[in-house]
Amino acid sequence: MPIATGHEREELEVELQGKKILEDVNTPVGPFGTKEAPAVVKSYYDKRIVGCPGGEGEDEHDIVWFWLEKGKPHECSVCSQYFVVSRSI
Amino acid sequence: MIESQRHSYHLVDPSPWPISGSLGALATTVGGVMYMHSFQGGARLLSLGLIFILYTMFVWWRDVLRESTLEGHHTKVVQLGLRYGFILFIVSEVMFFFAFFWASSHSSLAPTVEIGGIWPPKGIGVLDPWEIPFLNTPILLSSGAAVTWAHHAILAGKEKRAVYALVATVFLALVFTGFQGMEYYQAPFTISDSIYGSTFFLATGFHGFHVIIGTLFLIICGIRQYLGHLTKEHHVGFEAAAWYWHFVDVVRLFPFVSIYWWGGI
Repeated sequence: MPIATGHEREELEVELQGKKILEDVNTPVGPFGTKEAPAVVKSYYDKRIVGCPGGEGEDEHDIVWFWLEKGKPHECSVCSQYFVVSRSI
Repeated sequence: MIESQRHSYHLVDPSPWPISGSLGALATTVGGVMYMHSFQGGARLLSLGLIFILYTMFVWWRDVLRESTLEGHHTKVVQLGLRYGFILFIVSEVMFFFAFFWASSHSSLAPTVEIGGIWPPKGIGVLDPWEIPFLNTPILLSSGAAVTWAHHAILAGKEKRAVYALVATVFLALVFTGFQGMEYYQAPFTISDSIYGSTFFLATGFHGFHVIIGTLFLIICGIRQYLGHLTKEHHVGFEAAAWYWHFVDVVRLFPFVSIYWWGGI
């Protein structure tokens, strides 16, 4: 562990475990969200900005950005991927 | 949750230094104009302004060191931003010097009738480029090599050796400045001796001023290296000083080739 303190140290500690700090929040990944099994996006707040890149391969589209709010699931206007926000951090 | 912050960016605290630096700059400018026009109190206002600026520089950078070394605000992404910022600063410095070489080339490539239609101008005795100027160039380049030695020592975790290398770098820098001062003292022309003197002292003088800034930057790095602030994983301050030093190194070659050598024959 290199000499470091504060948030810099936390970042390095997580890196030593082979992960990246705030990875779930900054770059969420998971299976394509549907109405039955929505894509759950983590946040520190009740709402946040999310970008939908579409599905895999052929189903990919230009990123569409939108506000995702608690209690207001969002359906992507291009690929109809379904999102909900979770404040479970 | 282990994160103490919800993001990896450094949102700085409110600071009095931007306004104190601005007031210092204002006092320096107004005081400088007053002083140069022999107004009463001009020298006093100029000195006050300069003291204000120097004080601001000290406390502001002291705060930055506290934020990074003691508070851990300089995460990976913050370090990246600092590097980008410093590279852009050096690019602006390159353009600053470009202007002086443009002025020098403009005046020397087509000498006007006022200076006798020749370069160096009629009546100007120039310095021999193969004496002090030729000696000083490799001295500064060696200093650039020594800073690379310091960089490798830091990357290898050899903390003491990095201090020695920085001492060598600063020593060569001081020798350069000493020789440059001697050359200025003995120069057979002054800044008011035709366009030759003006362009010569503007270009070499600003270069010398940048050498002094770089030397101070390297001295601070040496002290921080001695205190153990710089690790092999995190030494942005040193990197910036090394980039700056290489810039000063490269800029030296232009006055040597185009002003001392080509412009002196």
